[in-house]
Amino acid sequence: MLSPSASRNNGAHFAETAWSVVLAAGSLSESSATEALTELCQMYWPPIYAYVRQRGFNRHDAQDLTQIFFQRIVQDETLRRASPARGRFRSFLLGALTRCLADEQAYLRAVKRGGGAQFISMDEVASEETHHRQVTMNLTPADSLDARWAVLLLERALGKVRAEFSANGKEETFEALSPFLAGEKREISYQDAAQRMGLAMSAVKTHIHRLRRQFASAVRQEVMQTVSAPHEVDDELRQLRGVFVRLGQQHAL
Amino acid sequence: MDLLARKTFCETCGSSLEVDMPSGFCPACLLATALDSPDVPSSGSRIEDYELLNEIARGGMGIVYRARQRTPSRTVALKMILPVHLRSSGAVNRFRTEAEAAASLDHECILPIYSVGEQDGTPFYSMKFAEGGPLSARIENYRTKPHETAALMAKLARAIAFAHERGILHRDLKPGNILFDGAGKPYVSDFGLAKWLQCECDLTQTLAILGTPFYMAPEQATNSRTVGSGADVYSLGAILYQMLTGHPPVSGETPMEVLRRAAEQAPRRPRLTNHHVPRDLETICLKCLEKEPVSRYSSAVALAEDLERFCAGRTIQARPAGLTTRMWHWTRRNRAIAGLATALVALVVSLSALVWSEHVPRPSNGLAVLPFENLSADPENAYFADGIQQEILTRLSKIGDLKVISRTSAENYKGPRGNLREIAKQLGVEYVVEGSVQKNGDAMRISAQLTKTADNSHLWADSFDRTVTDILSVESEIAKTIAEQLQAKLTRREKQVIAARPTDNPEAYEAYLRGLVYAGRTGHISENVSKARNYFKQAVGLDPKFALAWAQLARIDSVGYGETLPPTAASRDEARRAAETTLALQPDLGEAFLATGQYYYYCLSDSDAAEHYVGRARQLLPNDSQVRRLLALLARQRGDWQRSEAYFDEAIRLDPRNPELLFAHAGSLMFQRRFDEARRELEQVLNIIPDDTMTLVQEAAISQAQGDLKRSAALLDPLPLANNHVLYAKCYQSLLERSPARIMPQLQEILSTNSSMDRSDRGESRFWLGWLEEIKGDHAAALENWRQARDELEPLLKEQPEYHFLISDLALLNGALGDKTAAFDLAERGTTIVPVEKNALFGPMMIEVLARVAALTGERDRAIDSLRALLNKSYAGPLAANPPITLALLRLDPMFDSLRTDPRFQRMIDSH
Repeated sequence: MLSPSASRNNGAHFAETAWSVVLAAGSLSESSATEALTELCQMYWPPIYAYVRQRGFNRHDAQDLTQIFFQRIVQDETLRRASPARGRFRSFLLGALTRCLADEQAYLRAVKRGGGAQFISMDEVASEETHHRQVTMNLTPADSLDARWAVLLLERALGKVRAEFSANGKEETFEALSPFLAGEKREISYQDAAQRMGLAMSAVKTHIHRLRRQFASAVRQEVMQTVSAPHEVDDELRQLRGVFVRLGQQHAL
Repeated sequence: MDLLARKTFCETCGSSLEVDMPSGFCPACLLATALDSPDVPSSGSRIEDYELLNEIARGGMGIVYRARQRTPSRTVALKMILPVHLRSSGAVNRFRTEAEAAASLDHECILPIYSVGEQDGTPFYSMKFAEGGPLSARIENYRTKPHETAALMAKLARAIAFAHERGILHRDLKPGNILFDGAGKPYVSDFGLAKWLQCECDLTQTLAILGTPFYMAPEQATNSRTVGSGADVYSLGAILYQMLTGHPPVSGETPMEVLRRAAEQAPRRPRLTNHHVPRDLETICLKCLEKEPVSRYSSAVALAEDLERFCAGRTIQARPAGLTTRMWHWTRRNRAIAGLATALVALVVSLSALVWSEHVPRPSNGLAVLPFENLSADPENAYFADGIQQEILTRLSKIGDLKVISRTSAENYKGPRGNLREIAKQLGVEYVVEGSVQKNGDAMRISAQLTKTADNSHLWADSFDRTVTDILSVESEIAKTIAEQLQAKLTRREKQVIAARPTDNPEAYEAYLRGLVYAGRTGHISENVSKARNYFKQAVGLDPKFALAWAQLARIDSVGYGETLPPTAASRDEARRAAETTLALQPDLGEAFLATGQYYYYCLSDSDAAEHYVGRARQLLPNDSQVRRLLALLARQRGDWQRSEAYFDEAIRLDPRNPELLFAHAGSLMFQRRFDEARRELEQVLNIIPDDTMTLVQEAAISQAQGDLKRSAALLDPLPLANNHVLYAKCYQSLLERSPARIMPQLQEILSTNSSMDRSDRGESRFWLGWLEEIKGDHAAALENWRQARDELEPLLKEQPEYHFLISDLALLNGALGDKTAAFDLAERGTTIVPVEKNALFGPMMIEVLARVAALTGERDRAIDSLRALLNKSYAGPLAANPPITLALLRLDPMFDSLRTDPRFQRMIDSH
């Protein structure tokens, strides 16, 4: 369960059901739904951009395509309605994107007439490009999208927890304990950590336990924004994890 | 932090690191961490005094476990709100307050909450474990059990009423929140939680959490802050709706869309989906689902009471939806005008609530006046008993505060009758008036008694010894006393109406009473109509100022012109004169307005004028099923079939055993191609009048339209040819079967021997004979018959150039004769006289005539285009008993033979 402090600290910013808010709306004329969708699109552009790049578009076209794709998602009701996968935001985006890219030429012509809200930060495109070059071409575009999606939301959750620690002046604690987030590591034992932090073993264990819960909660809240109901969170987590596990098994073969 | 960087797979879990994290973590390991620390506790965990056994349900808001409590030792259900819904400690406190308020509700049908607690900042509460599961899991079982459904809903409504009295609204009633214990006892659960959510977020977010709001009142979409007890009444109605039909009242792709539709669209009537649903239960259900909260039941108690009345077989308080609402609006307006010229909206709303609440407490407004027994030595005096009963009934039915069953339905209980309670149940009333009349010369003894059928108690009984000249005052007196006994509130006008003396001439009154007797009998038998008409004529002859008799004459002339009697210009003029006279004599007589409305509808097809007059009639004759019937016909003519059905329903509720009304409704269902339902309604007629000829003809027409010629033949075979409708139906049958010999000899004989046939019948018979000759192969004989038919009908058209049935007949005749110009001229004239936009019933009929003319004259394109447009339309066809054109008829009818080689026609009849 969440500790009381954690639930309070997470207060200010989160529209925890952002995607379900979009789904509940009859149309995007409801401002809360437009805001939610715009925010989601701004958050999740990098995996989409990478996907477009991987489909063979050059940097500029991919940039334009991603930009216009998100614009159309927000503005064009029919595009949203026609999407066969309305369940989760991730599957929804992929469905709509696939259909849009199927008509690339028409799409690129449309791109040139684009305009309006900016979903992509140009500075970030540069770093995303560097990242893109590192990606091996072993992955299918769809796997790549899912994997990047997961990485993005995990980094966001991690950043949020780190920010909470530093807001309480406990940056060092976070640095010392965060390696335990991914499970117990041989290299850094509990004992080492206890010694470095000058704490009793039991106290360290309690801290780690809390940190893991705090992080889990942050991840869940991120995922929560992209699914339609809370009970879908676990399933989405399992699906995303499954992508890495499957790729690892393929690699082992 | 780059411990794992540049490796291609994770040493801990073995999964891929090809897409790595800038922070250097293995994404799969982090995801595993998130999965290992669930938001909610898993089975086996302990929360305070409870051990969680297993998860029962999970939704957008929370999770429910079956749990074991240590002290006292018992199995409970434990509900935990998902932490994501708790943004601040303030929210936790508010949730606690709500849960504790709900816990204070101690009612046998509200799921008891045992305790409210908090673990790690997440609130939870424990409650009774309902092992029978939710209603949503067994809702299908109720579809065929309307009484069980009503009984269950009555209990739930009582529970909700209990909470409302304590200031707690539920706001999220749905089948999933109705639970059953092991013994099948129902409980309402989850009180007040939706309210807690609503003060936290805006509506879209609330909906995102609660899920699709199939059961949510439309006002919850517009202003959740002013939502009152009416919202829960709506939800109960929506649950009832689903129990009756198998689905909620509105659907939609998104929650918002569902709410929007709930605010804009009237739900489809449950009986259209499930004909087992009793009318009264449908009325109750639809009243809950009214858009405006003030039009719904004023409280959950009022709903519970009406459901209980339904279960006990008593008269319900609700009137069919829509119509009632309008009546109240009218009442409201008039009251408001009397008091204040400018009424604030709020005042108007509260007034309407008053009107409703005035309606609620009185236990007694369902009343049937059964036929009086004739105790006179002379059986000839029977009409006197009938007439007096009918007059008392007519007077009582003018009291808006009473629901009085129409004459025609009460008529079925003439002679020796069974158990009063059973009769009351069949008629849907609580009270019954019985009586007897003994006439000896001028002296009369009239006895009457009023019985409350639930306990068979006599509320009142009296007898009156009078002379025939006093008969009117006795009727007034009896009616007045019954109204008093039933504590009906009478307006000043109603008091005047009850006491009115329609004539001072006893002979005229006697004739009028005799006329009423025949007018009350089956109207589609022309003999009854003619007799009634003669008596009414006699009555107005004896007292030319007898407005009521004039009104009856106008009614019978108008309806007769439209349905039973030969539609001659003379009878139309007589109808007009009678209608004008009655209105001139007594400009505030409800019957006068109704008769005038009927005149405009049946004789002139002027629906605007008819609408105007019937509107006035409705105000003055609140219990008259004829008024509703005319409203139904007018709505149908406008193309508003749904409203028309609602009016028919209301008429049938007022007059449940009126065979004519049921027959008319069956016709309407047939026009809408709802053949099975039409057939069921016709079966109802046959239950009342076994072997009724017209009913069997109509049933045969439906079978013909469905292509079941065997069945239609079996229905028609035993029927007597003396009835013209039978004759024509048999002609059409032979034509469809292409076996002319089956009917030709009889038809020829009738034509040669029956000298009493009028022009229109001779014309029609020749029309059919021509077609029979044609399929026999004797084209010359066919032409000769068609020419004769045309000669018979043309003079009639000169008299009434706008009579659409005549235009239709003559267009078809000219088409058959090959006179293309004349045929098209007539058919096109028909489409301008009754354009589809103005007459949804007969407008398309003219299109069918046009299509038939086109087929007969080789204009294939035109024929096929017109037919295509008709195949899904609701309308009355031009032939036999007027079914609309169907694929089966297209396949069989020889009039379309010229199209059969056209591949487009073939495709059309094959494609469906």
